[in-house]
Amino acid sequence: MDLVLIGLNHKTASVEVREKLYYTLDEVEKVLPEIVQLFLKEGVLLSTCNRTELYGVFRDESVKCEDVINFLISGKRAEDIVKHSHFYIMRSYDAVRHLLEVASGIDSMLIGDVQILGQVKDAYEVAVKCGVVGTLLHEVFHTAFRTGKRAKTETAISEGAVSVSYAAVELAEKIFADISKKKGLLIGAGETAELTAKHLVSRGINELYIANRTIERAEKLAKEFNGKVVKLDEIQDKLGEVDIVISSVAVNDYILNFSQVKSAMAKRGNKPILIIDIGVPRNVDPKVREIENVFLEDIDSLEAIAKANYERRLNEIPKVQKIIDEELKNLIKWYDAHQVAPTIKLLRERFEKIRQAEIEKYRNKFSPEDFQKVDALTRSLVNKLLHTPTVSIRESSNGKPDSERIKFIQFVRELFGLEQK
Amino acid sequence: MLKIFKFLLPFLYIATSWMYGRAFFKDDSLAKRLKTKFLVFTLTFHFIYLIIRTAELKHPPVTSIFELLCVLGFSLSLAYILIESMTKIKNTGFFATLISSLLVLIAGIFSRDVYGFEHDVLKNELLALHVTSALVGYSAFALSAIYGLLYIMLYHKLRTKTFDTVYKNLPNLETIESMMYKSAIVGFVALTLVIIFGFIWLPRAFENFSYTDAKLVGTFMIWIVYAGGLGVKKITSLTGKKTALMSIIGFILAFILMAFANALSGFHKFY
Repeated sequence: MDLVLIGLNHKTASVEVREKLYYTLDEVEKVLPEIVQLFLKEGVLLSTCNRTELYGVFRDESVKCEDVINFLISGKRAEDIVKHSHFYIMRSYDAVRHLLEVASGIDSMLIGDVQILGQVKDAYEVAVKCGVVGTLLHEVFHTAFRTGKRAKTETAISEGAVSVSYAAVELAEKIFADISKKKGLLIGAGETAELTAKHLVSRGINELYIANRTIERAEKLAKEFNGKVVKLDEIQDKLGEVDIVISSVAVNDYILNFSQVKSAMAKRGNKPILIIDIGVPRNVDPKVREIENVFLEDIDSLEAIAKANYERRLNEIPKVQKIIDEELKNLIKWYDAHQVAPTIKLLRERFEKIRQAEIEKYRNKFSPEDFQKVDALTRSLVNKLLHTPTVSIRESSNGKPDSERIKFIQFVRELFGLEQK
Repeated sequence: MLKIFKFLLPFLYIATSWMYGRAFFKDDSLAKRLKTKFLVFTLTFHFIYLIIRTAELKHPPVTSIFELLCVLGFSLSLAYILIESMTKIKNTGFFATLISSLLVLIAGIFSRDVYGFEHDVLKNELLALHVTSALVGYSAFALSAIYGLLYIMLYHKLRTKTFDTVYKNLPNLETIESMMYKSAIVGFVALTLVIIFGFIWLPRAFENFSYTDAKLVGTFMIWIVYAGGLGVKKITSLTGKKTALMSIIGFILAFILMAFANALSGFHKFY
């Protein structure tokens, strides 16, 4: 297989290097036709915050990987930071396997990352739009999409929250059956707290109250999350009403103490409440944990959940590898079927089968001697008829890239109705 | 034939329970895939056994306490599998199948294969209703207690920050609580019917019928316990851990009372 992969990722390059070589989809749309024109017959450029990888088929033997790397670096004016040693080069099935690993999320920085499959699809679609995808990359990338989808549905590779903010939502979903019937209270604003609020909103939380020392900030967040602003001194009142509290304020004293929560619990009929304290120092008196039906969790809990989920994902890698093996095997089968020799063999077998079936019908109408003559005559006829197509098919492979050959072979197969065995 | 079935049945339940346990505690993927199929097979096997037994011995398997235990094991697992197929709670069959295993095992060891009805008085439609209600009721109480146990488990894990495989495999607290409550309601309604049918049938069937029969008193006490528990929950809007504890205690009490009643009076003491 002529496929070549030139790229760098989070395993070979630091974030400073990766961000230098990051191409947005718009940039890819501009630069990819140029790359293809200079070096390739077909190509797809996949660029995310964790990797920039060029998949393609070289124009001819004179093209050197170094030249492509130089082009990628100089295109971003990153000579001073990005070095050749950051890149890896893979060929043929190694390159395909790598793409399948990328699409299924096991090559991601965060194993099982669900975004990557979408990014691979986007990269492929941009290449299609640029008109630089041939038969080979078409098949290879569709194999990758299928692999990614199977990995997601057939294994638990992307199950469970692995980020702290999602872990908070997962925790809430372990207590409450339906987030959309619950109310939340966000006290203060930090990155994790905001992200958590965002996830809760995306799960359709019924109502979100936001309390912050600076009221402008609270109003801004309320607008963003479609929530309601409450004053800090109203927290106590709201506590009886809300089911999920996320607190991350930089204060020296507790925002919520034992007696406040205790009286709020009485007010709310002792219904379970989840309080997530991610403030440093802590915002909620740890003694609150002792009150029945109060679930007080902190950043350590969230990290423990994320870690446990991540370990479970790691255990799923062998299952994903198995899917990759299967898909790669199918691709190899497809590729082999589009080679010259098996196609000629199949073509000859098909004609021979027809010839035999036809003369068999007339066996009784000839004497054995005559039958032998008819047999020889038809055999010679078939050979002569097949001579030109056979030569054409052979020539189709001479010095031509995979994609063109595959396209031609595909045409021949359809024309003569050759089924893949 | 009957003996082979009787011998194999407890082993099938134990194997099913073991599989549910592997799936629940160890996340074993093979067990996860096969557990439900295995339970369906076990239940089918059990059902066939009950049919054959009824045909062979010429009476339904409800004429002795051990026959009833065997059917109770069946109905408990049946109730569980119905819940499994109707809700998203897929991983918690270990406890239901474990109790079924125990019931079927006890029944297997102690029940005798008596041909025909030992007592003519047992040939009665009201008895059938009485017994069916009892089966439904006690299965539901057992399920309610199982959900109570699961609630306590998850509650404890959330409190102690133990986010392990069991934590992952448990449904959420609210769902568990709702299942626990609904099961208790079903159990209570069924037990009410048990008592009503019993009161209609018993005085008609037995001349020496007495309101001091241990089982009668026991059943009534269980009814009071659940009526009290459900009433308190309704009036005080009690929720969370306490209701889970109540459900477990209710079932344990029911179990103890029934064991005592059986020890004192046999099936019912009138015959």
